[in-house]
Amino acid sequence: MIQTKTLFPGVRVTLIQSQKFKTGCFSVNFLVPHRAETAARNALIPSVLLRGSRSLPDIGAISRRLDELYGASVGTIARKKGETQVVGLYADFIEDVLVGEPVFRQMTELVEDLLFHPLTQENAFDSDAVEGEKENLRNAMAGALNDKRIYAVRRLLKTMCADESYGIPSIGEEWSLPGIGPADLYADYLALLSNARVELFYMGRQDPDAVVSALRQMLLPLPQTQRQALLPVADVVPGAPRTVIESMELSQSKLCIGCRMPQASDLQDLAAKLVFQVIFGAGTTSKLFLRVREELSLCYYASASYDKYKGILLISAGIDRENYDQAKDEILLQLDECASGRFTSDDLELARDQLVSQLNQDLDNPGRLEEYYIGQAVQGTEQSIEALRSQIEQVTPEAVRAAAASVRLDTIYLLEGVEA
Amino acid sequence: MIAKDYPQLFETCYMQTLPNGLTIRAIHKPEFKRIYVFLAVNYGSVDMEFSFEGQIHKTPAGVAHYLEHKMFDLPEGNAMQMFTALGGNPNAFTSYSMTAYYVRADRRYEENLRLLLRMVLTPCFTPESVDKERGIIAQEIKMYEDAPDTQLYETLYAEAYVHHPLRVPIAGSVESIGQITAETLELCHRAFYQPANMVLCVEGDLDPAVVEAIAREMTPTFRAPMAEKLPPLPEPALVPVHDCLRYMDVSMPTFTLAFLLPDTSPGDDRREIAADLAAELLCGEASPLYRRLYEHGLIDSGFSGGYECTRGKAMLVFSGDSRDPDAVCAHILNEASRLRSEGFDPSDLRRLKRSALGRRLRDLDSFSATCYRICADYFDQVDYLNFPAAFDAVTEELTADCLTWVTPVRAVRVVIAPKQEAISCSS
Repeated sequence: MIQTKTLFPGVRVTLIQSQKFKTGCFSVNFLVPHRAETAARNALIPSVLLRGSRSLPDIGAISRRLDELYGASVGTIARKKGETQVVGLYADFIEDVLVGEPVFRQMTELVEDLLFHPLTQENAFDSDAVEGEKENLRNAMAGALNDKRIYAVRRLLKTMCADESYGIPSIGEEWSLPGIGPADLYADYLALLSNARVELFYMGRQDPDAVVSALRQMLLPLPQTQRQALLPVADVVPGAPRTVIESMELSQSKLCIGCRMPQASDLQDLAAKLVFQVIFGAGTTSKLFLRVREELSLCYYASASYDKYKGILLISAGIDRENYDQAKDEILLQLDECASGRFTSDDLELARDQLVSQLNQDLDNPGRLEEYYIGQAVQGTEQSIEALRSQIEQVTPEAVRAAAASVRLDTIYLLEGVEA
Repeated sequence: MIAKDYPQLFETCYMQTLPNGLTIRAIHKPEFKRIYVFLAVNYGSVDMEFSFEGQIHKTPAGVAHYLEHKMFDLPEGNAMQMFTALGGNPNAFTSYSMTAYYVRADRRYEENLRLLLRMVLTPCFTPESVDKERGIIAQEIKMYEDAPDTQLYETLYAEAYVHHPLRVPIAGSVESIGQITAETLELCHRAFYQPANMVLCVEGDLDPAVVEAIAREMTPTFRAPMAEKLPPLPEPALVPVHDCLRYMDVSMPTFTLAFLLPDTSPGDDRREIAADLAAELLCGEASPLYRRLYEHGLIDSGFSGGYECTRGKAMLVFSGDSRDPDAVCAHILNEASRLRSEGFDPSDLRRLKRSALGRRLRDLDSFSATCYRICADYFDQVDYLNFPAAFDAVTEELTADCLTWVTPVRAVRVVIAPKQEAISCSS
């Protein structure tokens, strides 16, 4: 059973009561427009909060407290949904009945302490904590280089979305870090608490009324203010396709193709776009898998994913440099095939089966549910997974063809592997 | 099926071993829509040398992994699409010691199970299909060659052992897979893909009796002869000092520091727990050393330490990213030495036990992790679900013992450091 409750004006919780898990969880998310100047600052705040609080003054004290709570955990959130940045804290913990102790209640007290009572000196965060977390964030930014598949996507978006905030990584960019000091970050934190829209998620065994009361108690220190509205994301119509080639000393070259596929107008449209994505490039029944991998043996992976929050279709493959033209042409050909309606009723049925099965399994997955419902909150929609599932079951071949035909090639990026 | 209750876990596991030797485990979860079917073969990348049908066989590196790729072929076509039509999402992996096939589904577990068993027990290799797969696997190997995390542990195993086939990457090399033919795959399938060498573990809203009936129906009634794995040559008693530095396109140095433990005996379910607790005492998130390293910017939250064991070859491994791996390693050795001489506070151990036990209980929410552990531990002669009792049996002495191995003479270290001028651009 899924419910949405308003805790305070602009502060809502989506809660799912379920008896089947041994782990309960909740998250507190602050929703703000994603911008180059603020992205790193906002991403930094949760990490600084986990450095220590009034009653748990260092990371060792926090860890020991979590140990006592049967290995509970609190983690930071810094993610991007379209052009909204979502930052906050995520907690998970053993269910009370398994240990005969009120762990949930103690977790809300712990998170209250971390969120609202950080270590401060005269209206500034602890400067060691800020400097340390800046360094960690800088390393995390630079660490995008380590996974070449992720790195290639990052480089593609840098070109493709140069003028859109979507091109900025969810944790921001390195150039913005040096200007951040403990006093102004503390001011940012206070502004976040006052201005950002707040969305919570809870899943676990507790009675919904008890959850609402505990979470409201937890957020009592939150200022009662008018909270900032989020801006809708505009669809982009690309100009002439661009190609970017960069080289690195690698065994395998990475090919990334960025396309625009407008955001869905309604649930029916979204269902068609998701089904198209599966027929074209998601999973082992897709055209990319069967043709580019299985038939032509050009790669180990070739897949497409649709970001519904932004209206971008990303295609990604790991290939030999010498096969670049063949792989690229074949991928674009398979896209044309979909747009011309050249897929079978079996293809359509398999894609629907795959999506329905995935959504049904998501209903048993707290992490996926959390992601889905916080995403709904960002988009300002209230569509259940069940409603999406029933739309998927009804998707027609014509709707899939139309979805494929709405795709426009924007940028081709190749991270070319060269020998030392 | 025989029901065994685990009251501390709030779980019941149904168990059976068929006359053909197939071991079955089933956990009934009526509230869940998701279903997980996992079939593990006690055959991994290290099992390259074996005796079978009166002969000694030496097979190329990467053959277990190659076989895994080719098992999805059935006489009537690729099984992937057949699973999808049943609401199933199949996949497989090969580790050093196991090959596993699994399906995630939301319905029709009977048919998904039937198809999985038929697929794994039906060899269907043609020279053409085996040749075609070579290009795909070569791309997979190249992907691993560029992945710093994979390179880190592959280098660690290559440095840590002199003879043991753990030295060889799981997927083999582009050269070694060039020697694999349809005949090699048929031989290895016959030699190892016998029910008596497998465990089937299923979890979800299913009827254990139906699972057993399907397993009986889909597997042979008799027990066929099986290969005997040849033991690797014994490793030298004294470990030479190992220190390996490599350069890749990484943003900052990444390192692993491992301490070789004496071999773990089959059936020992306490050692992993004791070693993990020792690692926590030494430099877990709640430890004084972790705080010191973190606050000095020598490690980040990606740093971790714990026990690793494959076929009895055991290590205590610490890894992470650091601007100064030398300093981190020196601190770990010093702290181990301090803990050995000063001892640790028993209340710290109690707290860490409570935490680790709670996390293991919570991990039971994951069907994939649970089925994997049940099978992996079964091959090591351990009943995974007995872990609360194993935690009880871990003493202060046992934990302190593990700290005695954290010494320079047992250390193997691998560092992957950034290359200069990693990127050149031409757009």
